[in-house]
Amino acid sequence: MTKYTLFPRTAFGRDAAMIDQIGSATLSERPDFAIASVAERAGQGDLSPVLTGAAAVAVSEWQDGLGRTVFWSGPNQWFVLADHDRSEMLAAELKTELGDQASVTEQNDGWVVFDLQGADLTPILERLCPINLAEFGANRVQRTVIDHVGCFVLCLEPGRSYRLLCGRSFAGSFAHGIKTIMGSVAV
Amino acid sequence: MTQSNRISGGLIDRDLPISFSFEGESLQGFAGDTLASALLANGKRLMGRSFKYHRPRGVISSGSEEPNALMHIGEGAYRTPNTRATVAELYDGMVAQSQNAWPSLAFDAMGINDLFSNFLTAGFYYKTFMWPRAFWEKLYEPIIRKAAGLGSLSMQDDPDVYDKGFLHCDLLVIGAGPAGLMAALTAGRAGAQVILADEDFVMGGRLNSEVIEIGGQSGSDWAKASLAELASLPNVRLMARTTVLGAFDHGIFSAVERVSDHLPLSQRAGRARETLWRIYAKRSLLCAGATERMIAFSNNDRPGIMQAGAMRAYANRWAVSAGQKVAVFANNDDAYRTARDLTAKGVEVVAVIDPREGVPDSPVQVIRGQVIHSKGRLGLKSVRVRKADGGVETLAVDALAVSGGWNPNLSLTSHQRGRPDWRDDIAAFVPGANLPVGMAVAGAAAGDFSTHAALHSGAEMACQSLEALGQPVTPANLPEAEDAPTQITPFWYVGEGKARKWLDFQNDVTVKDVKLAHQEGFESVEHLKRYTTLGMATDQGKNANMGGLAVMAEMTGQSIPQTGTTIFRPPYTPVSMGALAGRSTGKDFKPTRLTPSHHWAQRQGAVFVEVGQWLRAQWFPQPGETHWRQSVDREALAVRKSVGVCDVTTLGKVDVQGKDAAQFLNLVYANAFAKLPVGKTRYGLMLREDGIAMDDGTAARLAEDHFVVTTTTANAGPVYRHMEFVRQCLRPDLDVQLISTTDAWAQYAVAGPNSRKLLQKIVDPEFDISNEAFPFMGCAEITVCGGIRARLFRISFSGELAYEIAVPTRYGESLIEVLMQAGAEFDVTPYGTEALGVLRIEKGHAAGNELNGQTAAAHLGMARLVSTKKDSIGAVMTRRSELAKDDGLRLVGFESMGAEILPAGSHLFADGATQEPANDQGWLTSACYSPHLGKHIALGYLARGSDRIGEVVDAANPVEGKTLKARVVSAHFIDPEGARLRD
Repeated sequence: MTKYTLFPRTAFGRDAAMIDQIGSATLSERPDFAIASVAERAGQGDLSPVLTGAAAVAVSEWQDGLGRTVFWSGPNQWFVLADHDRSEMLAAELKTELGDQASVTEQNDGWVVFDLQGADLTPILERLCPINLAEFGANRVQRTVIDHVGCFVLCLEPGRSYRLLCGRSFAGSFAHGIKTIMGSVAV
Repeated sequence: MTQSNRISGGLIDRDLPISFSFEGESLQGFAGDTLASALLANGKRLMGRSFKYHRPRGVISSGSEEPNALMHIGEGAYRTPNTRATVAELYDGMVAQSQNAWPSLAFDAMGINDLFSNFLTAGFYYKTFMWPRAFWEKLYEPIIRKAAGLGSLSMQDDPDVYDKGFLHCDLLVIGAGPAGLMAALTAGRAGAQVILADEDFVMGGRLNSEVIEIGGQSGSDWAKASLAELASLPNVRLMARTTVLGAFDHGIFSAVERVSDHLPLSQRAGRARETLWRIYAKRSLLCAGATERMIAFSNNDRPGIMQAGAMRAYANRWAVSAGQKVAVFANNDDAYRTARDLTAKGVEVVAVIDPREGVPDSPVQVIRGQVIHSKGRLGLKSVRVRKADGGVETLAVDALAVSGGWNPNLSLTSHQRGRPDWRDDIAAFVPGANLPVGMAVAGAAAGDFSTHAALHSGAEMACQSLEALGQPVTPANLPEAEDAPTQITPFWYVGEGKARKWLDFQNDVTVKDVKLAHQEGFESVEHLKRYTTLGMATDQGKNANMGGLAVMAEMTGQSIPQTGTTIFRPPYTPVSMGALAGRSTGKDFKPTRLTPSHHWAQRQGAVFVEVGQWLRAQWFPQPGETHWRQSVDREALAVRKSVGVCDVTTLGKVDVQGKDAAQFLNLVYANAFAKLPVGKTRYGLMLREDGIAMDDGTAARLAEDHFVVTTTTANAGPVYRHMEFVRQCLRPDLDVQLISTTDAWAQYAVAGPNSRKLLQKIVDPEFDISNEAFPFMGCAEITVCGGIRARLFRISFSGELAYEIAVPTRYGESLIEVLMQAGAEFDVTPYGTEALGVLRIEKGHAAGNELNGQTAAAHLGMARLVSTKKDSIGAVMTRRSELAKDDGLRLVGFESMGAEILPAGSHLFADGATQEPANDQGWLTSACYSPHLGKHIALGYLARGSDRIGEVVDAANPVEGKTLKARVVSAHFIDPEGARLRD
């Protein structure tokens, strides 16, 4: 046994998650998610019902099931979110479940999850990304670009609650860009 | 209150007086005023000076097409030049200054240019400043540049902020006059997602400027009621102060919204000044109205002479009379409204001058004839009229309303090269059939000038647009409105009179200039534009183009449609540079990616360098080190002597999985990968299709069906894209899946003879990383520090015994802290990208400088690496004769013969050869001081380099005028046998 110990830090180099309220909107970092990406191997068919334990996940949508959130990330590809404390080894768990049906990759720290919540987020989001918010209802997900950073946006509740994922190394710039617009809209 | 020209009525709010200053003079206006209307109300007719001759000019319009009344607005860093007073919404405390005038607007020394106008005609630059040739750059151009221009920048950083945004709609209605409002009502009531955008701060267009009735209400009241209804519809978005700038592909429009520009500075804090919107519209309807054109006559540019429609807009909307005694000069019936409306407001209208036969009845005196001259240098005093019977009459007036007819605002219809059609009945171009996809046109923009016609076409086109989207609409009953036919006889300029007859007011282009262009052979409209600068002012020809075309048509004997038009391009009106930049300014110009050790490195005082989007530690200065070389030399030596740690997370990582993963890598890498054993890593060279080296890196086989590919930092994106292209497009039959994991793992190079000893202190004891159990090029999934999962690769960029260790990124910062603690007994040293570069140059490893898009495998000395036993991308092309020839460039090393650094980029010549392109034998790619060797060294490509070891060559640096001697050596300065790697 080595005498050294590693401690986790957030994407902002802190011990606690970032949270910031500006105006009526709040942006919070969610380091409590384990993340894995799943890609179907040749000829295996739609694996999303296996991932959710129930319904298939349609194109540009997300579904909850088996304690996971599964969202469509591309043709025959999905991202899976689960509680980090319970499923830090999410990728390994999924690989065990799926075997040679899928390629599974750990993304726990590849992406940072943020929640954006507030009374009326439309003025903020329409200044951040080109998503058609009128058609972007609950259970929709879209890959887009915010402040030059590629990201996923999940709609939890239209106008009031969204979940965003960006590459971990971009977290500072990504959050800065969002908070800047939160401030601009709050005036 | 001194608003001498303020009259009754109008849509201004007299309960809200506003103080502002112009040329240092304190003045008053009202809420609802523009700067132009407030200045006119205060009797200020002189508002600017022209570009070239510095002629005194007044406002000619009441809209965004204004060419004359351009101002500096704001103070200090907030000063904005070239702001059109006609669209500047008056706010309390506004400070406006004229521009392009010195020492004052009324007395402008540069007005002397006007006296030399005979020498300054169109094309004078091209004729005058041709010799002596050397004078152009040093003398003429600086003087001309200093003299040219209108407003001046504050030369300070823009203190404002600007937002960008994205909107979607079924129907974008551009312009909120009668046609636009009726269209928005029609589509909005039908439930469509509608955006109604208008550049004015009060929507309604000409309804706010005319005395007309719609459905028994005044036009402005009907507009107000319609807007109230539209505001109540959740599916309609009203965007005032929003100019649609351009029509782009796929129904995308750009529009700029003025968010806080109209507010006093004290109310702007934190707000964006403007927002640049990208609007995705399934259908668009252009209802942009029309622009009235002037008639050119001698000295038709006096302050006080303006568009007839503008003059009655000032009276009806802003309650301002342009003068005390007014005349009208027009070739159409519409302008008679100006006489009617001004008379009704008690303004004395002396006469309407009309060149047509059969002039209409009017309560005002109508003189059949033409205005042939005007007087009043700083403001109109009188006009001379040549009557149809030959007599001459001078009219003492201080304002003249002019109308030569109306031009539909069709700019946006031609942003994708749509060409307009000519209509004789209205003597104007109208949008042609070749509109941007999904666009329709209604109202005056389509040549439907009456109010009824505008309402009708607005509703009709909205119905058609929605029907095309599969949303059938029942058109509502139209309210009653006037439907007067257009009565016009084309009349472009007055022939009589020797003084200049102005077409382009801002750029000072006259009828004579157009004739000169014709005389000198510049007959094409495109040549006319560039020779005379007609239409190149900030109004982009909205006022002047038609007049110029008409004169050219007359000269060539062609019709106006045969003469043609220049092409309108975005933006419709000038745009702030800040709006185009949005928030992407300064350090926010691009996103910054931070490494897992970033915050730790900051605490160590690291100096950072931008590598693409990443910030990487370049070196870590220690106390007493005053020069970067001291730090870098120390770090490089520490690695060779004991052990160093460098954050290499930035190298791209691509997870490659699938049954055919090995076969896939065998295709994308030039060297063989199919038989790489599990638990092994291999160097890989990736070629482009044309055989040029694209990138190099490693691939580690974690399982039969699982590899991790690393790329260089700079090429992480392009290589991943290339691999996806191969997967999706070239070999979709292979069962392989790719995904980037660059950010998922914090990865450190641990390099140096003590690297194993250091790692053994943190790797959990069940994993044996001894040389025997974990030899050179091994890879394994392990755990460290009591169960944290990690990946270990025994690879080396430095040439030393070395590893790369990766842990989940959240543990990355902690890992380097632990490595520093555990390595203290070995004097472990963090090293940055500079030392990394020194170490790899000493070892002769290629990097971005060597893989520069010009070099093939043979140049790198890796021709044999390109397997002949399999097919791989670029393999055939890299063997083509020019790339593979024996006497081609080869990567070799160089040692400086003196104490001076060999500059990378130096070109190589045989010792003593004349330094000319024919003798060029290659170039130095990377250079450094090698603390290990105690001399300056370099890598470079040299013709037949591998056969010339020991030869001395010239390294020429013509930028600094230096040539240095360099000895050709092996690229492997240290440990050429690679014994250290395997130790």
